[in-house]
Amino acid sequence: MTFDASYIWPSLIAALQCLHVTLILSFVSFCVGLLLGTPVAVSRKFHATWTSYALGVLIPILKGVPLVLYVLMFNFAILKPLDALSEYYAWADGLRRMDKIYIGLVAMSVSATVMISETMRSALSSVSEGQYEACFSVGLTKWQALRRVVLPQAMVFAAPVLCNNIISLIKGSSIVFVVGIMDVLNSAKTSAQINYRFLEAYIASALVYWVICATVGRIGWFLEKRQARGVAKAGGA
Amino acid sequence: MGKLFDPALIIEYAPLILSRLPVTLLIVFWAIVGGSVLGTLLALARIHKVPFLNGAAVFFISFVRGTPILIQMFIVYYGLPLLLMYFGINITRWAKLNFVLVSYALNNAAFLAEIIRSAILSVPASQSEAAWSVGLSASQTFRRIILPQAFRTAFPAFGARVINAMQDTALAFTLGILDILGQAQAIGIRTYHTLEGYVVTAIIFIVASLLMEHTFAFIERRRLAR
Repeated sequence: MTFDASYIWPSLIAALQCLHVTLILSFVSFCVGLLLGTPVAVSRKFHATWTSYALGVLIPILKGVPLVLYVLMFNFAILKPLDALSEYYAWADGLRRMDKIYIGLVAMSVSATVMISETMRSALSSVSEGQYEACFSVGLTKWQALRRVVLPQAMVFAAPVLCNNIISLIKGSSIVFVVGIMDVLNSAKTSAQINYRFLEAYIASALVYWVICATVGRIGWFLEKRQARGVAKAGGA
Repeated sequence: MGKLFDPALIIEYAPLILSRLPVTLLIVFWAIVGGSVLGTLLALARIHKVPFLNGAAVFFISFVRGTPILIQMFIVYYGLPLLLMYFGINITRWAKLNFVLVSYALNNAAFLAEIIRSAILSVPASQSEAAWSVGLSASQTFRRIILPQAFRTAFPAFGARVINAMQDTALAFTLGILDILGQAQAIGIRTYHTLEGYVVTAIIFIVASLLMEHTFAFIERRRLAR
């Protein structure tokens, strides 16, 4: 079998029809990760309560688990108990046909939270201690100092790294095919099953990912340049 | 089907799954060794703006960084035999593991090239000038003066890359490789106890990442601190 570029086109169409699934998976999990990861980072930074110490132990452990294992484990851990329930109550296989994208979302959100909490932690530590002291000296509370002075500065440092995190999530979302979610990769692959043009299908899906990731990467590059300019203008932080 | 989750099985499966750990480590080893060699060449092509090679390196690095390693693996698996057929080399009988090694080495080459490039550029030009002034050749300067200093700068990013490469090996099972996750899947198919196998695999990954992280941090503190 030889390579025939003309087969890329139908696979590309099929891949683009499921583009929204890949985008939902990566961007929703990114938003969840940002919303949950930032408090985790703040809590770990300030050693607020016992939860900070618990998180300090938990996050490095969770960081060691690859995304594919999260997806496989959540798929199993969420579906199997429901299976037993549905058997007991004779729900037939209604749950079997449940949209698995929710499982992908849960798994990717956990992974994103861990990843982004590390990003935000290093961004928080890049803001100098003098900023807090200055805030306290003018009578701001800890919470006000964090919200109005420190976090906005940390966000500037974090922005390019967060773009890298989005790229990782977009690329990582391709693994959800192991539980049968129809995303860009799975859709392109399925379209190739009628003619066995798998190489062309993989190239088609690679093109889709490449365009999205290059776009996000470009935004990250722009943010990094702007940040460097801002630091230079402030006389070097 | 019996119990959903039986902790006793974790201990039973652990030796079975651990026996496949060498496969995972083999992939990581060749990914990093092959990636470092090829990555250095790519970095040099980019730094010296070698005509054509520079453009090819930019294209390759952008492609690898912009697409999932999963897809790269399958493109190598289906594409490499076709490509080499043009040169009259038949590799259709290759073991699947070889394709995984090639694709992981190519993937890491792109990431390491960027790390190595920025590390080499961070060595001041005066170092090369000083080396040339005492009569070292270009390759001697690179090998003895630039590379050791660049290595020091690149080390933290390099360590992070090794840990990433190890976590990426979890995807090799999709090609049917019996690494630790592949073995966990095989046990799951045989015994219907999948979750226990996954837990064992997760523990192995966690321990390996933590070990590597602390080892790299230790080396950085001890050996590389001035």
